[in-house]
Amino acid sequence: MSPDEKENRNPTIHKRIEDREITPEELDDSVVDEFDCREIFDLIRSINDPEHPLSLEELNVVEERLIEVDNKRNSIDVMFTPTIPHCSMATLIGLCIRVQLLRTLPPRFKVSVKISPGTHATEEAINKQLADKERVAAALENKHLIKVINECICKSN
Amino acid sequence: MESAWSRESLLLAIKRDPSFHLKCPSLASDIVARRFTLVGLVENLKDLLTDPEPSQRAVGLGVLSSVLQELPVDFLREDELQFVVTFFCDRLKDHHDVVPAALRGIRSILRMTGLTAEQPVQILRSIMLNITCQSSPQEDRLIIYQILDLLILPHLESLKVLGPDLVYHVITTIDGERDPRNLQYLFTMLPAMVKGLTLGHLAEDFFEAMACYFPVDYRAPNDEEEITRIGLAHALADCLTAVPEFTDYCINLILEKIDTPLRVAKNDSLHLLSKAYQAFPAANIAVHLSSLWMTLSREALSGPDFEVREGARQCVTQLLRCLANLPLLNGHQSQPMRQLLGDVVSASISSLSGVHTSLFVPATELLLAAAKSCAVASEHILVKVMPQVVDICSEIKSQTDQSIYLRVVSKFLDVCISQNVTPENTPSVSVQWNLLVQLFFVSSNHEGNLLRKEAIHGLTTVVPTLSSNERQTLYNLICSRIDEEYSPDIREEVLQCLFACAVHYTAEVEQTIVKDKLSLQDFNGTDPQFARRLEAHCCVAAVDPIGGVIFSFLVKLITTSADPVVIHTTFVSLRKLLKTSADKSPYVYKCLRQCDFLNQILLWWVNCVSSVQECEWVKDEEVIDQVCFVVSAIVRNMTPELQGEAVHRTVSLFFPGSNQFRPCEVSSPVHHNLAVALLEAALAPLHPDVQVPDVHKLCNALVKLAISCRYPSAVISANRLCANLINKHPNAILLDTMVLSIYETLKAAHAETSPEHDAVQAVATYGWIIRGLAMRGYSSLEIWINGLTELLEDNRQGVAMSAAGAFESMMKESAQSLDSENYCTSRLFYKQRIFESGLKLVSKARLKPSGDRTPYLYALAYLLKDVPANALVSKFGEVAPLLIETLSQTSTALLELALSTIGGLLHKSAYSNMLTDYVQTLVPRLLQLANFEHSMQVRRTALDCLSEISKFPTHLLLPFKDEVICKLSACLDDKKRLVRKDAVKARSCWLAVGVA
Repeated sequence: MSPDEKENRNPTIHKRIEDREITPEELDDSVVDEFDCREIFDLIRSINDPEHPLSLEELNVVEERLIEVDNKRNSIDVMFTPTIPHCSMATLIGLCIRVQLLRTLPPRFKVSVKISPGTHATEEAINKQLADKERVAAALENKHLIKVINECICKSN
Repeated sequence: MESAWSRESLLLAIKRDPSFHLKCPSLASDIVARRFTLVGLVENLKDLLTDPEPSQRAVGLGVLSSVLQELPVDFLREDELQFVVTFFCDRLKDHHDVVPAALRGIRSILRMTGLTAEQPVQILRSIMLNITCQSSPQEDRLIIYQILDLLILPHLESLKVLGPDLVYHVITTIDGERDPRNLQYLFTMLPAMVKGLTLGHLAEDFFEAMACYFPVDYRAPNDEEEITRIGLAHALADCLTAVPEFTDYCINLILEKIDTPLRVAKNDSLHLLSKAYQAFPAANIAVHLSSLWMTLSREALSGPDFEVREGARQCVTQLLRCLANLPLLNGHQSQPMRQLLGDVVSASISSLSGVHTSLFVPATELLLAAAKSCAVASEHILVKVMPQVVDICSEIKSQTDQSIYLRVVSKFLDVCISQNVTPENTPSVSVQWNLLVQLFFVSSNHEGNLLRKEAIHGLTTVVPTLSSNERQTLYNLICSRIDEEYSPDIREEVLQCLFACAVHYTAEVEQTIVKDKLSLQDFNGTDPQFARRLEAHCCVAAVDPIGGVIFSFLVKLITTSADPVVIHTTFVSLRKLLKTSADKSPYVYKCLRQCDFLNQILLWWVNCVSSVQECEWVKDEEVIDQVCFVVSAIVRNMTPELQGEAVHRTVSLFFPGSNQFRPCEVSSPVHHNLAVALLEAALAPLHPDVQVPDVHKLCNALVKLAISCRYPSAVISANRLCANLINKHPNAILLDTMVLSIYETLKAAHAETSPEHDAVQAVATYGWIIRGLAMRGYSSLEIWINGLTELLEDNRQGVAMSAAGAFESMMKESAQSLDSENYCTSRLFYKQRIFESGLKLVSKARLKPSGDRTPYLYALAYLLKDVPANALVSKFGEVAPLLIETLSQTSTALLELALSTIGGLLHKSAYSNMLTDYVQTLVPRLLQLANFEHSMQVRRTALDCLSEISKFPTHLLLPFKDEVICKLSACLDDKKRLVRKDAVKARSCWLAVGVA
């Protein structure tokens, strides 16, 4: 395979869901809006795929149903699904999601980003990498890598 | 008369004025008038021309060049011309300081007529021998190119003796040019030159000399620069496609550059390719067909962005169109267009089965692009591809997916119709065509909304091609959908379809649908089908001659009905019709005039007001709004003569002698006062030269109503109408009297002794009158604005705040009834004038203790909201401290207003530059307001402002970056979701600051 060639040339595109409707409660200053799955999904759904000019939502890499939010215990679990089991970009995608959540969520939350069980050949290794704070921090020191991540995330913002 | 110039005076003038040699028209005019001869001038300049110092020689030669430039083109005799040519060619050998003046001289000579055949050769040889273009400064290089431009094409015959040397010289001269100004000149000059010259074996060298600039890499220093990258790129494309000899080089260049990952290279290559199709013979392009197709298919199917994909698709369309004109070469099979068409179909067809795959849309778009090229291609794709689409469509279950296929089919049929490929013109497609039409008919009865909508859309597309039986089926379908369809989207689509039918089969639709199937006889307003049928009637009323009957019916319906629902529905449908037909359909307005719609409606309304017990709708502001829209649209579309007739009737209706109906009197009941809105709708859209009877009296009545009336909508209508009439008043002297009397009325109304309610409303009226006057450029405007500014310090809080609010009416962008649509005079810079005069409030505010400044701060925020950039730029330093001070206030409403004003300034790049000096003050205050607990609107706007500030130049932001990112993390945990969303955006923007 030449370096320019994509691993998955003709991926399936999923429909983007409509923007979240603004409810009267959300406009009422006296009501407290808790974090929910949709809010987390909105934060990560427009991250661009490193390979295709498509968002993670359009490729079905991230889904609202695979996000869990526990406001009381301050924890957020996100699972993502690579488009093919041998996708070499899976770690990068995971890292992008992690960095985006790191930047956009209040520090009180403990965030975990994992691959949906059974959807990638080296699932365990990647999950381990993404869970390792030291390794994530080290990856973010890498200028080239952070540039690629910023490109994926910044376009979405 | 003798010339004013002697030898001494000439030398003295040259010595005193260093730029004399650049502007010596008086010398030239003396020579033209024969007061002085050219030889005499040369003799007078002898000392300078032979001076041992090169700079002096340059000055002397400069004088001579400038004189030649000013002389008429046919002034010099042949022998004089020969003398001058030889002299200037000789000067090219001189010191490099002298050469620029000599080049200017040669350029002047080349403008002249009467050059012999030898002289151009002599000049060119001399330049070839003595000048190295690359080592000259930019201005001189430009002169050299201008010389080539003047020399080569006009004297081509004489220069042919030079043979290939001529072409070689041009190549060596232009080679290596880097200055955009010179390149722009070169790119404009070269296409004609290349076409004129015989390039021979130097064609490739010539092409390469120009191709080295492709793709143009240039960034204009600012947006207003005359030379732009795109301009240069387009001019270069003209050069590269100038002659058919360039075909091979050009196509190879395109194939090479399109392969790079650079977007600019891809887009420029595609643009060059589309030029190449027009410039080069199709047979030459056909040689490169397979490589071109490989590249184009790759870009069209998986190009990096929409622009590239769209460009590649257009190139495919043009390529097919260009090849379509080629004769059959070796029988049917090898016709290049057929070959390419086959390739397009085979590359796309495999992707058509997966509607959710990323190649589906590009593949269908590519097929569409191919179909657009010519009738043969449309036919081919219709016959080969569409049956397969129908098969796929029938196999899938999901109605969403099926609707996508139907949309694709509609698009194809639309293209086919535009190419005249219909069963009528091309019988070979009738089988496939009928198959598709049947597919639409079947799907139009499907239970899925999406599918029904797409099917009806498809039927709308094929309306012009339907047979009589199919039309009857369609009419039945339309009528049943109008009566029964519950989805408003589909009903809208059905109405579009009905309109298309009415356009193509007018008589049939009138008879079958309007009079028969969708008849409105015997319906009452409570029937849900009534509104739908009425809407359908209004939809086809725009088609001649159906409208006449329908509008007469509508007038009858309105004037005789006692049902508020019927009245409301009728006006809603009429409004929709007038909104969609706007100025496009003079027929609608003609019909409305023919049935005297305006007069009848106004009369009806006045009668309704008199019998309010039975006609409750005269108090309903929504109905009033609908009626007003219809009335103003009708008046707006009348000619001034017709308006003149209508206005008399309207005024006599609203100001009758008897006491029945008095809308402009304060003592009248509410439904009388509300009718002022109708008066506004009927009078505001008048042309300026239509005279309103008793305008003085009318305006006074309106002002009195605006001051004392208790109904806000009547007050606003009265204010707007009064401002409109003042704005359009034709007589300046009468206007002065009128305005003075209004001024006195308002002054009395806001005096200390008057009731506060009247004072508050009088001050608001003040703002409207100022706007009307300012828009027409009234001379004594400043007195009015000063008066308003003084009212800001009124002891009564309500009055002071009303004065601040008046600044909003004066400045806001759109004010209904006061715009060019209603023929109001709108002088350039009127807002600047209000702004300049209004600025006095800043100095007045400074004199007040900060606790009493609230009205001033409001007024300032309104004043700045819509001010034009050029007015604000010079005064911003004056107003900024007060504006920023507003951000330290605690009043939520004031903070919201000030933040939205600052946000408005930040959103427009022309204004945001003014705020760059205040980053230091703005950022900390905005950060504080981003956590303002009493209003989420304040928090949101502050965060929005912070996002906008992140677009400022990086060096201004870096000192604050860490602090902003740190403090914004608190906003990420805001209790409101919307604030968190804005905080995420602002924080992400700031995180990106300084990151390459």
